[in-house]
This record gives sequence, C-alpha cells and structure tokens, in this order.
Amino acid sequence: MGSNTSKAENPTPYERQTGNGLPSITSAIDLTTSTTERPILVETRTTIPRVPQEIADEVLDHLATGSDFKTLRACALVSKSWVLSSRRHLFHTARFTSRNMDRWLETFPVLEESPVHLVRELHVQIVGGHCVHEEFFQYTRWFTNAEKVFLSGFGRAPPLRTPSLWKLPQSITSLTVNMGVVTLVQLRDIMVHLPNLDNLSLSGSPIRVDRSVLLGTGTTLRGRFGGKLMLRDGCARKDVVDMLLGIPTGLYFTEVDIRCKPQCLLSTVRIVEACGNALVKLSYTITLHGKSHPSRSSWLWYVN
Amino acid sequence: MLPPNVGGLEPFERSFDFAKLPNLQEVDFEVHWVSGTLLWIPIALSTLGPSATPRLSVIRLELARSPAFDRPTETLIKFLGNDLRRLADEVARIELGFKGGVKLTVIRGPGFEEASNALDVSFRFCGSRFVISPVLIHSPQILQQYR
Repeated sequence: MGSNTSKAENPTPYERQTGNGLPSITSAIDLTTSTTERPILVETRTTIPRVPQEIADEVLDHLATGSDFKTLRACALVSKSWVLSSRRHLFHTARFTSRNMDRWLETFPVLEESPVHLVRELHVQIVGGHCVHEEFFQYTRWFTNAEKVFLSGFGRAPPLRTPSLWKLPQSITSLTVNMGVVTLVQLRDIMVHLPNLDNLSLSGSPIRVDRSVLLGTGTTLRGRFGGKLMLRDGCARKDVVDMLLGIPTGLYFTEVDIRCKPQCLLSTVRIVEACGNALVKLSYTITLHGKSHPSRSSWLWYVN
Repeated sequence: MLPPNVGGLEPFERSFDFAKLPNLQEVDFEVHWVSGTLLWIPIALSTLGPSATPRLSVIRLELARSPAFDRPTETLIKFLGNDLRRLADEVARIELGFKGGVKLTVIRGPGFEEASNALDVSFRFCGSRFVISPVLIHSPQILQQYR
C-alpha cells in the first residue's frame, strides 16, 4: 500500500506524461499553451520508453520474413534484449560449402558460445575435388535444434570418404540429399543417426556401388518416415527402393511424390503400396522413352 | 486386365493397386510421352472405386508429348489409340462410380490435344463418344452420351 502511495507521489516521467500507462513517444519538451500568453517552454526529463519485447519480436520477425538480413544484423547491435531475437533469425539457416566450413570453426572456436542451438536448417554443399573437413562433420551433431538438412553438390568422386564420421543431431526430421554426392551406403550411414526422420527427399543419380555391399542396407534404419517422400531422377531405382523397403519399422509416408523414368515403375509401385493406409496423396510423373519399352512391332501387335 | 507380356513390356506387367491404399485422397499422374504404352494408367485407375478408395476426392491426369517426340500426331494416335480409349473408359467409370464426388481433371498437353480430337472419330466408330476434355468431365450430357 505504502509503495503505491509513494509511486503516486513520485510518478515516473513516463506516467507523468501519459497518465494511462499506455506506451507513447515521450517528448523532451512539453509545450503548454495559453490563450492569452505566449507558449511557455517547460523542460521535462528525457526518457526512452521501453518497447515491449513482443513488439520488438514482431518487428524482427517481419524483417526476417522479408529476408532483410542487413537490417537484422543492425538490430542485433541495438540492445541486449534484441540480440537473441535477431540471432534467432540470422542463424536460422546455416549454409556451408567445402570452402567456408573452417570459417565457422574459426569464428566460433568455443562450442558453448557458438549459435549452434539457433540453427534450424543446415545446408551443406559439397563440390567434388575440394577436400571436406572431417572435423566439421564431427561438429554438425552439435546443431541440436536443427530440423532440416540439405546435402547437395556435384562431382564424380564421392567426396565423403568417411561417411560414418558425419554425425547429425537426432532432432532432424527432414533430410534432402542429392545422391550424386553420396553413395547409398553413405546415405544409410547418415540416416542411421536420425530416429525422428519424417521427410525424405532424394534426387540426382545415385552413385553405383557393389551390390553385395547393399544387402540389408535398410535394416539398421529407425526413422519415423511419416511425412513426405520425394524421389527424383534416378532415385526411384531398385536399390534405393530396396533400402527403404528394408526398414524394419515400416514406411508411413502420407505423401509420395515421384518423378522417374519408366524403368522404375515396378520399384515405385512397390514403395507406394508399402505405405498402405498411411498414404493420402500420390503424385507420379513419368517420362517415357524407348529403351525398356516394346519395340514398335510388338506394340502394334498388342494394339491390333 | 493386364496386357500380354510381349517383348520388353516387363516394366508394365504390374501397375498401382490403389485398393491397397484405402485412405488415398489425391492422385496425380503426369506423363511426358516419347514412346511405349500408357496402359499402366488405366490399369491403375481401374483399381479406384468408391469401395476401394472411399476418401478419394481429386484425380488429375496430365498427358503431354515430350519435346523429344518429333513424329507426327498420326504416329502418336497409332501408338496410343487403344490406351486412350481404355483411359477414357476408366475416367468415365470413375466419374459414374463416385457420382461426381471426385474432382477429375484430364489435361491434354501438346500432341495429345490433336490426338484426342482425332480419336473422337475413332471413339464414335467404336461406339464410344467419350472425349478426354481439358476441363472437368462433369457434363451430364457427355455422361448421358456415354451411357
């Protein structure tokens, strides 16, 4: 009670001006006018009103929506309360190439002080011919809140010579891989650490490996596989499909989107049907061309 | 009914069996045709039905000639005439079976528009006037004709 009285007697400059507790812009000089006299300048105390954190977050969210990262970087320097919100957007997506992986490690040498926990999407582009920092692929497991991983690149020789070293956090629910970068066994070794995997997107031409190596490839995988499956280019191939069908917990994809060549029709039929009751949406695009199709004479025999 | 397994037809000896996917709501087939049969599409569509896939609400078929196919439309008709007839039959069956409850769209891409227009004559010849339309096949007149 006493504290209320003292507060009423000594209102803050902000309360003195607005009287209703609503936020407003505080003026440095109060102009009091009289009908008969000239305006009298009354000096008041200068204050900067606190912008509620929710409002600041809204503004920063808006900047992030417009990908205005330059302004976001500037906002991060405004005050301590803005730093975290700005960094949440600035580090939402981390893009790494073979060239800049070491820069992250140099910039954030102390793991605890690095913004790894703010990263939600991890994009890794590997260009064949450039060496891959194995230290970095050990480090990626510390992106503990990352949900999506994109692995892309090009190059004939698989750059990930030791794929089992690539550790990803268990928080990953979505994995997008260009199969021109990794072999099927390497993909298995990546996926084996992802028990919460829901969405899987594979594109590119899978690098061929010895078939004997592929036996039972999928049996060690334990993902949820309850989201969207996307297979592009040569990834609807039999060996890829066999790996997915070998997953002991089964497939529960609700959406399947396949774009393939006709040679893969049987494989894709198998994987689509394996989803059973879970499947809600099927998109299937096929480009027909001659190789594995009937010759004209046999086809005409059928038509007639 | 599956096609005979003539030389090289192996990839199409089996098609989708949608009866195994009872919760299916949307089906989207897109074909960029160069050569070979399209029979797998009507075979797959033949497994759709109100009892097999009761939740089905959208079917979209898009048929287009691939830019790699540079032969005249007559060739395309010669190759695909039977498939298109079967396809039209299945489309009509689905439309009738679901009693308009399915939004069914068949889009004729380059090459297929001319082919299906030309095939309308052959449909009439073989007793069916069903036309693969670029818009929804919801016209009661067309359905009446088909009946």
